[in-house]
Amino acid sequence: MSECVLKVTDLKKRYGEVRAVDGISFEVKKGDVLAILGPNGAGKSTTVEMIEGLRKKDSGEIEYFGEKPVHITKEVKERMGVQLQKSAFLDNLTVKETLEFFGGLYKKALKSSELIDMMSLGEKQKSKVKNLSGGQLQRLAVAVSIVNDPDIVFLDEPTTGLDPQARRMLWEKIENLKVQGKTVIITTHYMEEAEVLADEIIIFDHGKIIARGTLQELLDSVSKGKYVEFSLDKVDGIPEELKKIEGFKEIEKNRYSLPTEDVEKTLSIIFNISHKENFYIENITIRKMNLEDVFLVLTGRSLRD
Amino acid sequence: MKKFFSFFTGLIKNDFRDFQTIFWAVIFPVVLFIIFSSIFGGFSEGDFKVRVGLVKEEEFTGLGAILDTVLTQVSGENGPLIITEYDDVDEAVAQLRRDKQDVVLQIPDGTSAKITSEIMIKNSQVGAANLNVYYFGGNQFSEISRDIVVQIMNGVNTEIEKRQNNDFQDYATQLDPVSSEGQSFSYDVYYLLSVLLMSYIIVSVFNMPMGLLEAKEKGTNKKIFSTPISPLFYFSTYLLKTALVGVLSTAVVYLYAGFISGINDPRLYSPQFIGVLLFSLAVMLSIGMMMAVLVKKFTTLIGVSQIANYLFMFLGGLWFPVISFPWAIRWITYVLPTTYLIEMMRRLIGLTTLQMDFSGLFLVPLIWLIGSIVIFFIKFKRVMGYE
Repeated sequence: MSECVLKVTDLKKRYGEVRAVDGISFEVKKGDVLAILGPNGAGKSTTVEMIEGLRKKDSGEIEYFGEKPVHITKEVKERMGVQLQKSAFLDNLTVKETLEFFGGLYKKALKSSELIDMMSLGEKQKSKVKNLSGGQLQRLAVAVSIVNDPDIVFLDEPTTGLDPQARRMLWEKIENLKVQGKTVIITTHYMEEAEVLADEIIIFDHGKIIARGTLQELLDSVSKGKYVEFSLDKVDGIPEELKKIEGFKEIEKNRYSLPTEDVEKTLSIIFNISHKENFYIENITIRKMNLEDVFLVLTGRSLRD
Repeated sequence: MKKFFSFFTGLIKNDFRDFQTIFWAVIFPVVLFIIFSSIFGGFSEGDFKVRVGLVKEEEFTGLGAILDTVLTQVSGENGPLIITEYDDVDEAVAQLRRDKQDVVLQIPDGTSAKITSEIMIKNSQVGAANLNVYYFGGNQFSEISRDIVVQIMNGVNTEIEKRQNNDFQDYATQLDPVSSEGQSFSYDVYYLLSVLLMSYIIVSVFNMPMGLLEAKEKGTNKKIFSTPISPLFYFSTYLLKTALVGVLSTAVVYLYAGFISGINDPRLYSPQFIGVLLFSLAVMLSIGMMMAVLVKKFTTLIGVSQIANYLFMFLGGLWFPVISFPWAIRWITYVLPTTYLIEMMRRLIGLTTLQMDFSGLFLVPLIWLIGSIVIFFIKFKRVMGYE
C-alpha cells in the first residue's frame, strides 16, 4: 500500500458568518495526482492555503508525511512545492535569476538550467519576469514550485487565464511531474483539466466535499449514460412533448440536452415528436457525460456559475 | 548564510534594475545638489561682492570728498563693492544690461558743491544732492545690490547730519568676526546636508513602505512565505537592503560633492558626523516601517508618503530655517524628527539655528525611532503576515 503523504481531517475555516471550509477530510497517497474541483468561492484555495501554511485553520488536523505538527514547520516546507493562484515574483529578475533566487531559499535545489529545459523556457531565460506572457509566467510558476525537488506539489489553478494551446502545453509539463513520481494536488475549475490530469478527483461546493473518486467512479455515481444535444429549426416555443421528457434542459439559446442510457430510443422519440409537430432537428451531438454534468446533477448548478 | 545571500542579492538586483528606485534615491539627490550648488555655490561668508559701475561726472572737491572716502572704504580687497568707473552713464547702463555690473551709481556734476553747502551753511537753499542708482529690475541679485548701495549712501547722509550737529555722539563700534574652528561657512555644505537628509526621507517614506505594501498586495510576500523563509528573516533582509540604498545614496552624493564640487570639509568625514548620518537613516527608516503597517492600501500610502515627505522636508527646516516660520507652524516643526536631525548635522559643521544642547537634539528623533519600531512590531503581521 502506498505511503500517505497528506491527511486532512475535519478542517474548518470561517470568515465572519461564512463557512469557507466546513469540515473537509481527505488523504493523498504518494505519487497520486489529486484534483480539487469546484466553482469559484467553493473553498478550494482556502483549503489548500491552510495546508500550505499560508492561512490559519480554525480547527481540524493536517498530517504531513506521517507527522502532525501544530503549525507547519520549515522541514515540511522544504519538502513542499507551492504554485499560488496569483504568483507574483520580483519583476526585474530574469527567469534564470528567479529560479536561482527561490532555489537559494531551500536546502536542496534543482539546477535552474534543468528546470528551464523542463518547462521549455530556454528562449526566455534571460527575459525579465515583467516581460513574460501569461503562459510563460505560469510555466515559470510551476518551475519555481518544483525548484526544491519537492515530494508534494500544490498547483492552484495553474491554467486559469491561459489560451487552450498554452493550457495544453502546461498540462504536458504537469503530466511530466506525475511521471517523475511527484504527488501533485491541483485545484481547478476546469473539469477537462481534472479529467486529463487527475488520478482522483474531489468536488467542492460551499466549503464541503460533495463527491470524491476517480473520474469513472464519479461519472458512474451519477449515471452510466450519455447526452443527446440538438437544436430546432424553429425558435418560437419548444414543443410541450419535448419538455415532458425527463432530464430535458435548454443549455443555451436554441440548444437542448437530454440524458439517456439508450441513444437509439431517445433519438427515435425526438424524431417522432418532430414529425408530429412539424419541425426539424438540427446539429445533433451525442456525447459522454463529463464532470460538468456530474456537478450539475449534484448541485443543480454549472461549475462556471 | 546561503539563504541570506540568495535573498539579499535577489532583492538588491530587483531594486537596482528599477529606474524609479535608483532615480529618486540616488540620482535625484545629486541632481538637486547640483541645482542648489549652482544657485548658491558662489555664496559664502568671505566672497560676497557687488559689482558697481560708477559714473563720476565731476572730481570730488571740498567736503564732497566724503563720498570718495566712503567709496574707497567699501571697495577694494576687503569691501563688499567692486567698483569700475565709466565716463558715460549710457555705457555703464549698457554693461548693467549685459550682466557685467550688478548696479550703476551715477554721481552728477555739482554733487560736491551741494554736499559742502549742506554741511557748512545752515538752511542752505542749494538743495540736496541727488545720486542716481540704476539696477536691473526683476533680477534679485541686482535689487539686493541696489539696496546695499543705497544703504551705503545713507551712511553718507548720516555723516553729513553728524557734521551739522555739534552735539552728535558717535557710536564706538568694534567688530569681532567669529568663525568656527577657523573654517568659513559655505552654502554648498549647508545644502549638501539637506540633500543627504532628503535622500534618507525619500528612501524611508517612499521606498521602504511602498516596497513592503506592494509586495503584500501583489502576492510576492505570500509566495516567499510558502518557502521556508520566516517573515522576520524576510523583513530583516528587506530592511538591510533598503538601508543599503540609503548608504549608496550618501556615497554618491559624497563622491559628487568631493570630486566634482570640490567640497572637502574634513568635518563631513568625522566619526561624529558619520554617526549622526547613520542615526538619521535609522530614525527615518523606522518611520517608513511604521507607515507600512499603519496604512492599509498602496494607493492611500502614495498620498501619505507625499504628505510625510513634504512635512519632513519643508517643515523640518531642510531648506529654510525653522526659526523664521510663523509661530503656529513652528510648533509642528518642533515635533518633527528632521528638525533636530538637520540641526545635528549643521552643528557639526559649525552652524547653529536652534537654541538647544547638542545632546538634547537626540530626544525627539529617539522618541520617533522607538515609537515607530514598537508600533511596527505590534502591527507586524499586517504587512509581513500570512493572511
